[in-house]
Amino acid sequence: MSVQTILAVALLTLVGLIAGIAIFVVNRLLPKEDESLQKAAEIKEYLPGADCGACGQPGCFAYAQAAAKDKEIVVKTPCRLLAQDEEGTKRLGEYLGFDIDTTQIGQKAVVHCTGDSPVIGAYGGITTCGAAVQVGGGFKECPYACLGFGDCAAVCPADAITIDAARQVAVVDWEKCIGCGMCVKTCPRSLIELIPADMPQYLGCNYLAAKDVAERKKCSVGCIHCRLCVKASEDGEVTWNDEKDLPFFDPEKKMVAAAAIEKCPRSIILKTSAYPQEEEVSSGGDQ
Amino acid sequence: MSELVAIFFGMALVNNMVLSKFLGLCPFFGVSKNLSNAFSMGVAVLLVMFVASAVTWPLFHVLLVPYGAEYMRTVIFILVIASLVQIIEMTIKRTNLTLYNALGIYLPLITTNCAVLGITFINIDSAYSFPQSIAAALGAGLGFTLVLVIMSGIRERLDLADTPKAFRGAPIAFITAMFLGLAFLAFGGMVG
Amino acid sequence: MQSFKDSFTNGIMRANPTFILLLGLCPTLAVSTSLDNAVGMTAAVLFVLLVANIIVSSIRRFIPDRVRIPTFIVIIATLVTLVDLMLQGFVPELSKSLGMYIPLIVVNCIILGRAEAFASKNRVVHSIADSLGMAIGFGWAIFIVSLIRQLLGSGSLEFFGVHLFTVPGLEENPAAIFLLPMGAFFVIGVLLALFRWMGVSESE
Repeated sequence: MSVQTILAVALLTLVGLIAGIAIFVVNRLLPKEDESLQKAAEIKEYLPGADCGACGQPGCFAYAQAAAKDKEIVVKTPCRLLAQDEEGTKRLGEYLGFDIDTTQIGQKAVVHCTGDSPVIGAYGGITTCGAAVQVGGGFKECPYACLGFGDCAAVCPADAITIDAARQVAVVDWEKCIGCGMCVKTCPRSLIELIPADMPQYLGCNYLAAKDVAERKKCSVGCIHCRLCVKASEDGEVTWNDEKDLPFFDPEKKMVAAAAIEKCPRSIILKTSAYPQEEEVSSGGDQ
Repeated sequence: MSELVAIFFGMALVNNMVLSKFLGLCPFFGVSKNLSNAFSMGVAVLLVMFVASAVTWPLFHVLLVPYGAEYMRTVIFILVIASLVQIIEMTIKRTNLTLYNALGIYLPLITTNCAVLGITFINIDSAYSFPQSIAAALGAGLGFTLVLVIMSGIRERLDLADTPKAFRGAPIAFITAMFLGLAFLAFGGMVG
Repeated sequence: MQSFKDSFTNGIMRANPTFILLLGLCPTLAVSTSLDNAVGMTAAVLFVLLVANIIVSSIRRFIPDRVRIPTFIVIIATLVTLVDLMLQGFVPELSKSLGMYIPLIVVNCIILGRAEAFASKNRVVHSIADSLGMAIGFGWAIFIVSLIRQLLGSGSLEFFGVHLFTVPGLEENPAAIFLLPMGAFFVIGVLLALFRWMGVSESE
């Protein structure tokens, strides 16, 4: 029996030794660990970790790796989520050794719908926008309406989108929006668009009259394509997009279209929080 | 050759690691929420299964059997597998960062995965020869990956469905596994 | 620090390894086809868990951090080999029935997990309490699953050769699916849902 014991212990020791030596040898033979990995792990501690993709990298760790190789990435393609957090940005800046300027004008999301289209069908399927749009062209009268199930709210890494339950429509809070564009990709009706954060107004409707759907009307507040806004604009703030049959506000020029907003019979041109006003009637960031 | 193919498909489909032998359940329910994660995990497991089988079979027959120490296999195998995983992880980490990002993080999880230890035991218990062991390992790994991928696809959809509150998450996943297992029963006569 | 009683009761209900922590499902589902198996597996797990935790807790101050996990694994593997050989010697039929799932206790998440999470950080007395609690928790969980599966799958209950109970009408046409792996998945899925519904664990 003692032979067995010795044998067992010897075998275990032998295998253990071989394994240990193998690990040691492999450790020596392999090229050294890429230093950027270690640095990337350190940088990642300062990032929000939401993996939203707004920076253009596939996730926070990838961004950290890119930043480890080239510090300037933090300024060139900044982490949008971090930009909202002043303290966090400062800490990252301290770690990397330079000031990160986050005051650059970014983009914000707007939903081109006010949700007033009446519900024409009782929908009992999967409660996501992606599913609901495939059933009979949507359960709202307007074929381009926001269905309000919140696919966009679910993907927003900044929790900037809420659903207005009464009108069953998505609402973007510009205070929180970081302009990452996840909602734009998610909306199955392409109702969300990224516009410059200093854009003063946008259209709350996406009814593409050129692609009319038979027997489906727009809602009672949507754009009626009357072109009064174009006529009212003196300096060409509003032009007409013939393809969509909707007014067009040039994001390059970002002109304030005060007259158009007033003249619109449906009042469907909505002000953003960047609209220059003495008195803020609506709370900032409302659509 | 045909028996190798039979063993391969047997391990992959008929005696599927997860659905039939209950091995590897932890990653099956843990990592299967997301398709790309599931695929990465599956490939990592396949790799480790292959290497582990290739190393433990000769070790068993050359070192343990001649000295009548078959009972040592539990300790020896697990030691070998742990070391192998360590070596594989080191190698991938230092030679191919992209691959490491893709599946490197799953490797430490595989050390205590019963599927890997299980396949090494199965190879011995079924008295397979070396080529047969390799075929079995490859089949088992691929079967594991297959089921993991299918499960993650289903679970991604399940997340959207209107499940009763008590069933959300693990319970409905188990019941789904039952249906998956039932479906795989159809492969029963395949390797007759 | 938790008291002895707290550590003990933790594993039985609040942090039940099977139903709440979802650990160690492989043996639970694999061997729960009969009550004998359930008892055998529980005994094995109890022994390994208890002794491993005692050893790990005793030497926890002397183990260097880097070799922590390999050390635990070797300790557990040795104990499992011990249990395996004992079972083969004293109850060979049970050992055959349990098959390779006894050696697979080595990689059972319950044991490694408790060694890592509890025993390496707590005193011996508490580790004993924790391992007893966890083993009992695991034990009654696998017992219930085996009960359901054996009853529905073969129509009668047997316990170490003693015939206990027969469901009238079911013995001739038992729902054999419950003895198959699929039945196991189903039973545990429903049981987990039951526990959630009773409010014992939180929904996701």
